[in-house]
Amino acid sequence: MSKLFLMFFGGRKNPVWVGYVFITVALIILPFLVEASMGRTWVRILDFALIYAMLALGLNIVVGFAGLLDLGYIAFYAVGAYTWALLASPQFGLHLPFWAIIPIGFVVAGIFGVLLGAPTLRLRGDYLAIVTLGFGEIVRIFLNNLDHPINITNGPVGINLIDPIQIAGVSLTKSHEILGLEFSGAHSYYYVLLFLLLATVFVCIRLENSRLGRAWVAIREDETAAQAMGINTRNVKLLAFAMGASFGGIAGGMFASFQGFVSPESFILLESIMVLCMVVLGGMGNIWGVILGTFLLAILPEVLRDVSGPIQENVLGRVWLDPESLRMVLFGLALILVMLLRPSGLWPKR
Amino acid sequence: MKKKIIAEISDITKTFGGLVALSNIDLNIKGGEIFGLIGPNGAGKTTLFNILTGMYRPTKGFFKLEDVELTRLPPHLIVKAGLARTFQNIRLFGTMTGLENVMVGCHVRTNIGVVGAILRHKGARQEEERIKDRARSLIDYVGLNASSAQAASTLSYGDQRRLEIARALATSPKVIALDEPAAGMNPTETSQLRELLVKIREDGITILLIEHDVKLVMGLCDTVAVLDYGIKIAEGTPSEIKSNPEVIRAYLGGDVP
Repeated sequence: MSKLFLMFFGGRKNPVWVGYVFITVALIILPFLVEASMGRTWVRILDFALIYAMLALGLNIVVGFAGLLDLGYIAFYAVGAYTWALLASPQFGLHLPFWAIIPIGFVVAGIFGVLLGAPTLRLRGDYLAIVTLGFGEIVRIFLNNLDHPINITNGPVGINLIDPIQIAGVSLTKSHEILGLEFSGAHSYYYVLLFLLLATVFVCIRLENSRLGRAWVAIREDETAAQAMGINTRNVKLLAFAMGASFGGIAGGMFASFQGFVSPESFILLESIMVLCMVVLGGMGNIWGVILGTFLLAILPEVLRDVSGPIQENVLGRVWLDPESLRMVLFGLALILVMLLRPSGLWPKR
Repeated sequence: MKKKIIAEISDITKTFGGLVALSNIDLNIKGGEIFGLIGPNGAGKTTLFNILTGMYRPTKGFFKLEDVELTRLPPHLIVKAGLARTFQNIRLFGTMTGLENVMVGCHVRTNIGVVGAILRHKGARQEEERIKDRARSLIDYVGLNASSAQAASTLSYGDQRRLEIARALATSPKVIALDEPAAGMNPTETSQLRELLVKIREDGITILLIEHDVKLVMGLCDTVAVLDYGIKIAEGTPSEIKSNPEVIRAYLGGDVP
């Protein structure tokens, strides 16, 4: 990356930090530019893209690094979201502060990761995919039905009025004016999510370039050979499940607090597949590729929704196909094209 | 000089359903020697390898390395105890570079965990440096300097074989088990391999060698054992093996006595 910046900023004349400063400033003013040009809805879309990026990076540890195909990943997102919802909402009357819930969500989701990982250690490929798919559904169905005999999750109705992040008594979902600039909830959350995403990227890069990251890739490439090189494949795989799940848990918590509402509907199989698409489309195993894939897939459907109606009116005279359904068709087409033209993702590892 | 026995294989038997793949195999491998294991196809050589390295569980018998029993331990603990292996059908980590493959081999002798990897404190950085240095010196040792930055799957066949040996050496083994390292090699590559094996022996690492290239085995090994249909039919120095009638019958066919 730093080489890229160097090239961009004219080689030796400018030091690397100029590139970093430029990127930092761009990321800080981005939500204002987006709001000014496209409206506040798009800042929210950007926020969701950041949440998805965290989620995809977590899945990338499991699928991209360790090569364990997980089709139930959204379950950890659900666990994180419900952990936050139960600990900071009128549901049980608990209102823990965010700095307590984030680590709790991290640990709880990690435990669920190990719970899924432990029975599937001997499974590979398709078989693992089927079991993880089942796991994802089990979690969702539990959330859907745990309103009786004792009401824990409120069932299909979901949990409402979830506390937003509060810093020094100031709620982040309300609008604030600082130095004449209006910070809406979406703006404030943008910075929190950006910080968490950068932290996730940092952890992922560190893990990737470590003894453990190499062990994960070795297991992905050839599990038998990895064992024969003295890697305790059981522990290393469980670690991948736990780390991936933990990031999913944090992302889920952020989702719950940002939305203020969770219900089992948000954690259907399609969501798991969507996150997997982000990882695969961007380039499995490459952190920057995964982020690219996430932003494309989180933003493209919204662009298609906005664009496909007016285009039909201009070209065909009236709207023939409902933009809402057309966008999924175009979205699918885009996925097929990418996979045909760049089978190892848009930005592959090597 | 009398050499000490480093690996003791005793009464190893393996059955797959009704098929007896190995029956009552006893082998004693002395420290610092090259021990050859030969036999016709299907004689059970690779099965024995898989038992020694923990991939299979024996039906009966035990295996000790330096008087520590390793039978039925999982593969990673056997590697930790000092027995490393290569594979008959090369099993490198294809997308990783040659250097990274060898670095994976260092896994078992290092121990930085998640926290160390994320914080990258002084100890973690030093360990990472040690891993890199060791991997580089092993790449150098097997003579792969020129291509160590390439993805392993793009290396030539002979280079892949040597990289597998370097990766196994990275686990700091006492005994290294090589499963047909010369298979598919041309004469130049085979003679380079022979030099490498001699060098490894000189450095005090015991070699257990499965090989079909009889010329290589006879010229290189200190002791040779012959398997046929899961039974050890002969054991001795190469010259003893060459003149053993049982071995000649197994290899060339002949009347069943």
